Amino acid sequence: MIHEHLQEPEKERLRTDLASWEIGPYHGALPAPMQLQLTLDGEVIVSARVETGFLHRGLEKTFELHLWQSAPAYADHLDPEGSVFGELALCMAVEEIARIDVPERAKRIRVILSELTRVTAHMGYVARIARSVGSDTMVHYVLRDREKVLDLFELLSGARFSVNFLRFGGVQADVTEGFIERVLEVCDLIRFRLKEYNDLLTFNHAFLKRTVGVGIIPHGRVHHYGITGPNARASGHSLDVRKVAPYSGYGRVDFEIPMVTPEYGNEGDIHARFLIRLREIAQSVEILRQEAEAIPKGDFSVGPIDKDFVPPAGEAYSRVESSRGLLGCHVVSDGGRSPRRIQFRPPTFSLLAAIPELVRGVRIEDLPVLLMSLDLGIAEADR
Amino acid sequence: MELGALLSKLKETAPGAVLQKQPFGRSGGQPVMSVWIETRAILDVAKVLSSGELMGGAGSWALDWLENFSVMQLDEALVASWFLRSTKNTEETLILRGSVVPSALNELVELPSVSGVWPMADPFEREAAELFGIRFTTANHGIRHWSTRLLPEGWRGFPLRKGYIFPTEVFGILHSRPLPSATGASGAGSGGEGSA
Amino acid sequence: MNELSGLSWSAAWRVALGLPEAAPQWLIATIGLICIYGLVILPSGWMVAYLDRKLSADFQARVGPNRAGPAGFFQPLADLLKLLQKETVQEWSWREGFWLGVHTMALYSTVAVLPLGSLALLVDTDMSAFLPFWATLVLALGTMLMGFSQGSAPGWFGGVRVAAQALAGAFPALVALLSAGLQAGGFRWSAFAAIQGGSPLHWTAFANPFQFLAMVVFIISGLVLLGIPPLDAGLSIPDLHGGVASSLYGRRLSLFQLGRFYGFFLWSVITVVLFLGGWILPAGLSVSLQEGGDWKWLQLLELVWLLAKTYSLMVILVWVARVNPRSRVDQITDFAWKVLSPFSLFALIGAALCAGWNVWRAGV
Repeated sequence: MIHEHLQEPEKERLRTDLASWEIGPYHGALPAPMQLQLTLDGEVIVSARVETGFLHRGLEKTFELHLWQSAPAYADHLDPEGSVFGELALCMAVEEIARIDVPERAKRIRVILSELTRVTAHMGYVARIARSVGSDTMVHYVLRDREKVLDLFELLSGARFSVNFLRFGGVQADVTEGFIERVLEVCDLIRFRLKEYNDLLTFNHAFLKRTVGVGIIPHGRVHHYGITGPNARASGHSLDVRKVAPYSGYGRVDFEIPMVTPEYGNEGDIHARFLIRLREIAQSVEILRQEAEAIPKGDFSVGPIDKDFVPPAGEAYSRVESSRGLLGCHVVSDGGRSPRRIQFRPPTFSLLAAIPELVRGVRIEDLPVLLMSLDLGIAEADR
Repeated sequence: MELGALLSKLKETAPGAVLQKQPFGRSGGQPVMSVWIETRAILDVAKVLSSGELMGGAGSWALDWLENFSVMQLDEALVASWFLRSTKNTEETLILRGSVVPSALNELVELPSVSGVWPMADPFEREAAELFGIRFTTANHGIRHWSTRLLPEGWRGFPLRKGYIFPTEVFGILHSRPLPSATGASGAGSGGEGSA
Repeated sequence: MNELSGLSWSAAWRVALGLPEAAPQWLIATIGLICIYGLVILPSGWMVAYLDRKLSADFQARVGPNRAGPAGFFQPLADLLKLLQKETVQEWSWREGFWLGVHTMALYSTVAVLPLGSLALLVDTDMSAFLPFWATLVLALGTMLMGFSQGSAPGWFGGVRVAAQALAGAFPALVALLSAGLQAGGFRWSAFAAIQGGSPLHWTAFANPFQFLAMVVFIISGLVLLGIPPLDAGLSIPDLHGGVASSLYGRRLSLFQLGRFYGFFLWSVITVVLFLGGWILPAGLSVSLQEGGDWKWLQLLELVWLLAKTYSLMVILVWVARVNPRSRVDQITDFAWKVLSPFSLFALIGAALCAGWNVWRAGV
């Protein structure tokens, strides 16, 4: 009787060796279903192993089982937050194979959609970082403003997130009446709100203490892992596909690649990645303004794509600057009614490879902020 | 970039490796070149290209960035494509190709792993290993093994291969709609009408 | 002992409650405590929770609760009822229950010490001001061990963080308390009341800059000691799923949350009494009511005034919590040891010099 209640002395000992803790697939620190197996020394992480694959949906096989006509709709579901980028990468690759010239107006519409998507993705990023750091007020402010942009998507296509608007050779339909004017209004609103965010969070002392000097991706390690996008730009590498290999009319737009000067801390830390994305929002607003003001009249598509659309045999590889980094799409056509192979190169792969090195030496409390700051897109990584 | 010069130098350093070159896709202007490599020699070629040894030491276009690694099935062969780029000079790009033929639908094939040369290849190889049934071997004849899984435990077959047959029942749930075969026939209910 | 009215506290309570002469003291004390808990603590929890929800919603450009009652006024009650009716799914070990009990008792043991008005001082001794302070340390111990006994990683880490914060916050809090006591010449609640007046100019906080500094240090170290947002690393949700509270739900959670609210309330009430004028009514109302013998009005108005100041302080702290990010536990303890402690000592020295100066001047 007494034995049931007495604990063995061994079990009660306060152990001081390394502890292991498995986080995931669902956890407050993780942006999406993934698993981290951590080895901890007190509160400091000694090593970590990343396991993903929880969001594998068989997307690439799905392409091969359906007609070409339905491919953009599935590409839309590559990444729920940056759906337009998936569609754009696919459409560009197929248009290269089939030698389709996209009309000017369609190109401008595509650029406007891309930049709007980038703005929403970065706003979601700001909200996630604020939530992980514990600043709830900022979360609500950012999401409230993001709704204005999502209203634009809804005005255009009826859907807030997965717009399914791009087609081979252009876009699905012309922009709704009043869409362009509202884009310009939203641009003004966002410009105003960015100052508010800076007042509230960006230079808040407690936030700086949590993010400056934490989670640094050193300049030299960026190429080791092939990291691209805002994370790489925060560490000093200025590669932006929109400048290096302009597509869809980006060559004509006047914009600068946002870079971060380390005035508040080190290059490549969480704060730098945060600042870069705020600057990218400002830059996207600038691009939107230019494109919206200069949009020409014309066709929105070369023609309807029906179920008999078959590109000739060939392959192409297109690159798009998505909100997370360089998104590549390798399309192979064999002249058949379904694609032979569509493969996406997700920018998150390099980050997943880098996580074990990044979280070494980081405290548990910094883990949520660090993971959110990398902007991991597990949906596109697992496909 | 003088591809011809590069290829002749490659033939010197890794004889028998280079099989053929052909332009990739239909990109206008200067086409991107793809080079077919004997799969045994891929690792040697990879080391040479990534170190920039052949470029006269200037290193201006060491192809040290593996941007993408994609596998596809053409007829019976699994064709792997390595999309290489240079970090210093982003104009330089090259595509390596290698092909292996699986002996049967569910048999593994082997490819050399390049993640010793380009660490960013790791996630791509993990995915290809599981979905295509490719075993990636390391330089000292080891086999790369990942514990992470995209497919559930006990899944048989390699889904991304053509001719893969979907199971009729998964975890006790019936696959209610029989899917068409891999060449994308137009039948099979509403699957062919492009609705998402 | 309430010197002003000449009655002992038990007699004052007996008269107020209308009990017969022969009622034993323990009965009066028990009824008194239940009255305080039911009429002051619980409604305060309700009020502050409601204000918290509505004001946070205003800050965040939302509406806040507006369904349960007029303007959502009954929302805290609805939340409490929802928690109380939850089904118990998981048995918990005797240790978790034990430490939650210790946690709760440590807090509620101080209900008797609460200074709620010139007539409601049940415990007005020379150590009165220290008793809540010791109780918060026992609270930290109980919370830490509750976290450990959960046997899961969130509990362990949460428990250690709570203990680290409590140790770090205890020293500056104590020293700031000493500074206030220096000004008052003692640690009786009535002593604090005696040296302060109704208008802000006569509050201890504004008597001299060192006392103001001591007040600021006292408030912040209270936040550190009790783990109140934004310094609540031991209960952090993103990384620890709630830390110490991660396995609590239903009745246990409501007990825990009420306890945490009570700690916050306790610290705020003590701050107001020590530094912000306590219950002394403005415009000499206290004195006139006492002379008039209007005990009921006196107690009521003093209580309302005290609670108004307390709620204002709590709302300001909640405001700060909503807007600012959560600080990391090692940053909190560094701050407490390296910033708060030196400042508290500086304030103490300055307060001592000022007090000595006053005595010297009075003597001369």
